[in-house]
Amino acid sequence: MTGQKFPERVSVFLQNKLDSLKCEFGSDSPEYLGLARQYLKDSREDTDTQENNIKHYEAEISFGQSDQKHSGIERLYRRQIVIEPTMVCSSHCRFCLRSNYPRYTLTEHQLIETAKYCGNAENRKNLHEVLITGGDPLIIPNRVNVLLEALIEFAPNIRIARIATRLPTQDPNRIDDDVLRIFKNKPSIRFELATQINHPVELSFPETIDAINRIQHNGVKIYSQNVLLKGINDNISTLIDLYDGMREHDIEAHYLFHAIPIKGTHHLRTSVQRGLQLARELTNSGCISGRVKPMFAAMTDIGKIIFYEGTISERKGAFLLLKSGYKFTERLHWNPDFQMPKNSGVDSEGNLQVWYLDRDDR
Amino acid sequence: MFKLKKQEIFASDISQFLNVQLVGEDIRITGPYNLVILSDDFQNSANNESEKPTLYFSKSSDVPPYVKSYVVSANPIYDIALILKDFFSTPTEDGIHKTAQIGTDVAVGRNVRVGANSVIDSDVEISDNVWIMDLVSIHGPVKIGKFSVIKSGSVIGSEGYSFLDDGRGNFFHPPQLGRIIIGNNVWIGSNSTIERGMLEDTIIEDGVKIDDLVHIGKGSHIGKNCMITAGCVIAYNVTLGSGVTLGPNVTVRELLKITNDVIVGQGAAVIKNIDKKGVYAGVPAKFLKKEMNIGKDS
Repeated sequence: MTGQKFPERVSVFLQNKLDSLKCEFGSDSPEYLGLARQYLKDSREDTDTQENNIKHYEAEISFGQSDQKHSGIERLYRRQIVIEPTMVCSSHCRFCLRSNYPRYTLTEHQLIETAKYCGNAENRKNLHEVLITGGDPLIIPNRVNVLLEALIEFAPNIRIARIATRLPTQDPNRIDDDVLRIFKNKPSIRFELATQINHPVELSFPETIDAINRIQHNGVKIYSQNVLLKGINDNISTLIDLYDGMREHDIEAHYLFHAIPIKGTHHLRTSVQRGLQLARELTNSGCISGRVKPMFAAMTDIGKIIFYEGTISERKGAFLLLKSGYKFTERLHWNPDFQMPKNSGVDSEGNLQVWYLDRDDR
Repeated sequence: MFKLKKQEIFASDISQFLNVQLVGEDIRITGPYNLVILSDDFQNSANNESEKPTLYFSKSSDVPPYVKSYVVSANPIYDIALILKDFFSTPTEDGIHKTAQIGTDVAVGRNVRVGANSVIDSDVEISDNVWIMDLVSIHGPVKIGKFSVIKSGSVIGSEGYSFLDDGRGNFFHPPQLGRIIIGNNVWIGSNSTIERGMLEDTIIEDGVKIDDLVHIGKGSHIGKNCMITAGCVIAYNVTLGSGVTLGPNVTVRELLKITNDVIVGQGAAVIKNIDKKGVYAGVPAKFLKKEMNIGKDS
């Protein structure tokens, strides 16, 4: 496509919601901005800043007869593989961590070959889970079904399938029979649905709640991994409302991510310190149920790192040195193509550590 | 089998789905009718500019000025078919219809669809994702491979047409107890019959596509990926190799063998074995040429 690299794209559903929120609450209201800032392009995206990441990590794997790396298949962890059947989404989140990825869709043949790889002799020992993400895989439910049927046939070691989607909030009418068919009649696989809800206004739409209910009625557990975003949810009252709403609708809390330093996202990032302070307030003040407490985490060049005491081992200028529990030797075992990122290294205990760009709160 | 699914997508969704470049405007596509194949000789044909937003599928980047949005596609009809499958269609039915009768010793796999008033007798094994439409009769012993489709009105395991002279001029019908074995990804058209043999199995291998109104006689063996078009009659104990194509209304005499990759033209009557690859036609069928050059022959 000619033009912008990551163009603004807003589904008809979201556009209608934005129009009605502006009309009802005003264009300066938290309700409108809580949605608008997630999806509408901001001129600050084009400003030069230190946030220069093009990808959030490099973990593509190669398999098959050629040594060519396969787009859309990544592996960082022992038990799980990431499959991205398509990079198409119904709407474009302005802080998308895959905004700079090439746009593609895997063919049915490629998905079947991927399933065969998942079920090869080596993977049968340790690989039990797939994360099917993108893009939004539920945009193409028939093709996801092809992948799942192939996994059932060729990779019986896969027992859990997590499917990541924002369709319930971006375009809930697309959670139709074709999507729900994905979850039916596959007794060997347990499904979980990962979504992302960043502002409580997203849970105020009846169409979204209906879509969530339709998925849950098929026995699928929904959880949400949210992103801390400046000017959207970086205050305690919004976060309390958000996690209360998730609790009400039986959506489990998973990670609350610090916004990663992807190019064009500077204006949407808080400091890590601000995130830690909000996470502490949120989880230790008795304001929300203990059943819906998120883990504050950073998505770094070596994978997810949850912030615990001692995670930040050093600060140098705008960068934090984050310690992980990932062993470099293990990483190479699961993904022989893995290359140590330039900003990463191995500590004295053999664990990977990485320099991560912080953000000040000015 | 499928019905139209209404939804709105962007032209860029389509280009990214097909892994091709979108040229021009990223228009909204509200249905399959917004997708048009640009004629190869558009310069000589009437202006087919559409009033509605249209995404054109062109074999080259040489397009007329009225085209505001297009993708270059090596195989436009195939690409549009993929779009229809993944964006604009949905199956008409799910599960087993309440009026279908399923015998007690029938093994039914996952995601099997059975339409209204179909009867599935005893000793039938249906693999995952098989689609059996309305008014189908299946009489075991029958095995049906995964992702196969049996259209309305067909009879699978029909009692074979078999009569023996009892020596006094009377015809005696022996029980037909052979199995029907249908492979994976087989398509059986409406009102077709596949007969059971007395002892021998009737076998339809993987990928065979049988059109409507076809008769497969008892004990016949249809090789992989054969295409058998409407009205064909295959008598008993016939063997087709793999990749055989029979045009409409071809008849094949009993006990014959046709080797791999043979094409038989419409209306032909095959009365002798065919042991050499090629194109055959006529009554009786005779060798015509070595191969069919699709496009040049039509």
